[in-house]
Amino acid sequence: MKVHISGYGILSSLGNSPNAMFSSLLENKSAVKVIDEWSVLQGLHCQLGAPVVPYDKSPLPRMARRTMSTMSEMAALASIQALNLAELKISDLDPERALISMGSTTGSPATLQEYFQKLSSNKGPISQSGTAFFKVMNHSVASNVAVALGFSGAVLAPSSACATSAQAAILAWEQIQSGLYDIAICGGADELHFLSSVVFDSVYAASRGYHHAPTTTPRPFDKNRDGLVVSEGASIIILESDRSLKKRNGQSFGEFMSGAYLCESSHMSQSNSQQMSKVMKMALKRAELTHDKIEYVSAHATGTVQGDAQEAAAIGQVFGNQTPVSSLKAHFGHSMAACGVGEIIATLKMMESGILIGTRNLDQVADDCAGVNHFSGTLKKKVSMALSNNFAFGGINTSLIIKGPDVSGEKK
Amino acid sequence: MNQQIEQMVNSMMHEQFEVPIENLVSTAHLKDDLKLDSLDFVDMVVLLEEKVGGQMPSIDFMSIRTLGDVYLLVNTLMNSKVQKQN
Repeated sequence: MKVHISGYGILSSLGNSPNAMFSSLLENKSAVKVIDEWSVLQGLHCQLGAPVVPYDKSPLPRMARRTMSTMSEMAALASIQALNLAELKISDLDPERALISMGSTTGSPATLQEYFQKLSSNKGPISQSGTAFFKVMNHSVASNVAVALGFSGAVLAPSSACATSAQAAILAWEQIQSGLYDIAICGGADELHFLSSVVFDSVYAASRGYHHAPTTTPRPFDKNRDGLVVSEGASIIILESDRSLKKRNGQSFGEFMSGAYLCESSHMSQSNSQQMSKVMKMALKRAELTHDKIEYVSAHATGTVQGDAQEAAAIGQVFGNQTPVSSLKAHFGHSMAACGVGEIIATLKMMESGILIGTRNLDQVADDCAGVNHFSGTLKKKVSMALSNNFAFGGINTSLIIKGPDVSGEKK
Repeated sequence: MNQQIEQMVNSMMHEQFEVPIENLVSTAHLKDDLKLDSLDFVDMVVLLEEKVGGQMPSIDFMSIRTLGDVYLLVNTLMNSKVQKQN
């Protein structure tokens, strides 16, 4: 069964709409900057981040906002964008055939910090807000979006750190493929907090050597890469069955061909090219495609020494050295739970425009990342089939395949 | 009722709970008129305790129905604080 992408929305470090975000990519912008307030934190070596462009939260009513941290605000606003683009109203959805599938790396780190600071200073739970739990629970983003939209269907909240939104989308695709559901609002969100930087910094995976020139890092696949930079945002797509889209004469912006997830069970943090290539092959198999049908690979490549080399080797094993490969992490930073679906949206915009966005800050391909068709800057190329990777701590490897919209742009 | 208490509560209702100023009359029903619910009551009590600097005695939430009831609650809190100080 065909599964269409019938809407999308994004709040990101590069802009708060798909068009604004893609304009920033075309201009080769980087959102990375020094986060001044992190300078007081002893032992934090990476004090760089890529904050979301300031946004207006007034479309969200107070009753919805009161239980939201910024990650839920962003996810709700991106969901509204996606629904508007899809010309869908929540009231039109059959709750028994619609689902929300979205998550975050953790509950709100800012609220967790506030909660435990208060708990410690008050020597007990005195003065805790009644809304704190709803910001820190693992399904905070999914539930808050449901409440904000008035959605009463199924709510799933997969959480797999940096693979969260990719996995949420693949899970939704599987549910629609099963025939049980017609429409899924899916994606992920995370908010910028020093704890996110600490996670990577503590295992030497965050960039340390470019504070004097923030926009020159991260450096995916580059010889002088030294780690990632965390970001924030929310990315949402709407997946819809062919039957549903045709019935309502909706527009398809692309097709979700397949997705796969496998666990790298030999190590919690170290990636492995063999396992990465397996998940890409599984996605191809599920889409009933051979590797030569893929015309662009959107790499996860965050700029870490180990991860980029393993992913380049894996892509080389599957695709050889002809298929163009790029990573967008040097533009966005690493928006963790939001990046997977964010990169789907960026890829759809590349397909629509006929312009591929190359890897920023890739000045000299590292020897251990060679063997694939890297490119930087922009590349004029019409592509209609792309594969996108996302990998996460905890051994979660995901790969998914999307097909571009029909050139005619006709409604189904 | 102490005007200072009314001002403090009204200011909190407007700034923290986004209640329009014109709706802040003592007879206003918290749920029906001001659109506040039990989650808001919890945060309201926390904020009032922080402002007044004491802890509310055991509260029967069901008995707090109007803005005027909130003024009375704060008055009780302030009196209990004064008594403790004495």
